[in-house]
Amino acid sequence: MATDNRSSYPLITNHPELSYWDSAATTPAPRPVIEALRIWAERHNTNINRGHYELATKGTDLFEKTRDHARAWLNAPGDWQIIFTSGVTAALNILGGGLDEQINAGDTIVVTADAHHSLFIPLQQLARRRRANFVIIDVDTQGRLDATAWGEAVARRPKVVGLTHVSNVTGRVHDISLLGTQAQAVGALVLVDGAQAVAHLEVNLSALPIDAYAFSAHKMYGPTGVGVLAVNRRLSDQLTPTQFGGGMIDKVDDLDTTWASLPHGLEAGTPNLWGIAAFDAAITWNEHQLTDQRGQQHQLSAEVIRRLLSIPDLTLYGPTEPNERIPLFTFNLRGLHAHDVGEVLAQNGIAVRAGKHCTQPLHRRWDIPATVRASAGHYTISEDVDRLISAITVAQSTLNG
Amino acid sequence: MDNELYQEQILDRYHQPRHHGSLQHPTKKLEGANRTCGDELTMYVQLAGDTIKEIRFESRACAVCTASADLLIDRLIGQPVALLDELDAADIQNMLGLPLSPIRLKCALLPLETLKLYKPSDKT
Repeated sequence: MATDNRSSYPLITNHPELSYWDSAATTPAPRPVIEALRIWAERHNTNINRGHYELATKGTDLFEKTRDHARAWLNAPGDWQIIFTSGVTAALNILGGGLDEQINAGDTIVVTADAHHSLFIPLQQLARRRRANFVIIDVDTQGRLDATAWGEAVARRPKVVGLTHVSNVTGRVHDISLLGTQAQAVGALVLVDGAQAVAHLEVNLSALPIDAYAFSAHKMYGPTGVGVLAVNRRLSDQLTPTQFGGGMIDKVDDLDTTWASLPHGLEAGTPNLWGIAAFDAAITWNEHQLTDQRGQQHQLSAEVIRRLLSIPDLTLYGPTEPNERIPLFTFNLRGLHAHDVGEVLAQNGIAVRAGKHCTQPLHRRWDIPATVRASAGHYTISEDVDRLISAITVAQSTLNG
Repeated sequence: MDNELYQEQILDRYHQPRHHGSLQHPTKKLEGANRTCGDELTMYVQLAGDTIKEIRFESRACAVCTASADLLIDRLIGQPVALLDELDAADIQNMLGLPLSPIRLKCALLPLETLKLYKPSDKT
């Protein structure tokens, strides 16, 4: 399996007792990301876009360089905007809240059933506010979309389609190219939640037929409190701001205000400057350390899938083909509740997630109250796999009494 | 190996609850859920006057929640319904006698909180 990358991650090395299988919840930061935070605070921290003094100019410069860095990493076309947010949830809410004026009664908004609440709810509430039809495409326990339902939804010429690049429950990588092409062909705005994708796949916005892509830094080895909303020109022209304050205005009269051009028009308030400095280092980390990991990830996925499927009475959700998923494994043990399994795993030093993973609509459609999710990262080694499998077996015997 | 949380009594009540099931004509049917972790409960309460005659429950819930429901019902049958107002988190903790983290305490409290939804003026 992989080389041992653990030494790059202080959180992992500080907790040798723990086998961390919760990267989908948040990823630990590598040393350079932590250093970047410290250096910003010690040497550069001033507010941006305002001060005339050299330190402030330099700070603004570094900030905007991070924006360019993100643009380059995503290979975003020149007319796309890269907007900093507090995370993917804020980014998707900017979209959901900012499209009110584009949606009329009777319009259709489409989302897939495996959408995380952070994509599902903004679009649901947009549909409610504007009296639009809200269509949810079923997803089976292998993570596959209902192709017939998708075709029917597209035929309704929806105004907005919300897609999930990689499901945080099934781990399935959806064919965003195909789905985006089909949706854009009928004039839909295609919004993509990339939260679970960016740490595991190359994202090339120049090659994706979509209108928006959003993700959080803390799921790609960066800090919490930072996210990116990338939007193309067609969509950004239609968005109205929903957060108001400093930095996003042009002229403030007594009774009305005009907005700054993008990206600043959608970036109200002082950004998370410390976080964005650390985010820059995280992008570099992803570019240099993680580019070759796809092959290793498939190996890891294949090994974990093989060993999980050999445990009796275990149901694995999502694709069984390693190259159709990221190394995220959601499962249940027959007759046992996920919460108890998660508890015994925790007693044995395994960090996983148990519950609905912010996907109530999906779990309701599957009629399953909860699932256990184990998700790997760059620091995961074969010993972690041994520990996970062994702990699952212990959970089975402990809970079956 | 002895497990502090998953002791014999808890597992016994989890796998073979004494009060599982439903009632045909309950005085009140109450539903509760912990949506974050995925515990779901339906409780059927049968009163005779002000006395709790029987309670049954259906659940898709963890061992702590299920055992808590089953043991709580043991305690409540034959008691005045007003007892529900008097019971609190400390009573549930004492009843279970387990080391419960804040998250698992939520599981343990769900049955009581569901029953507390009953108001005497309600009719099914």
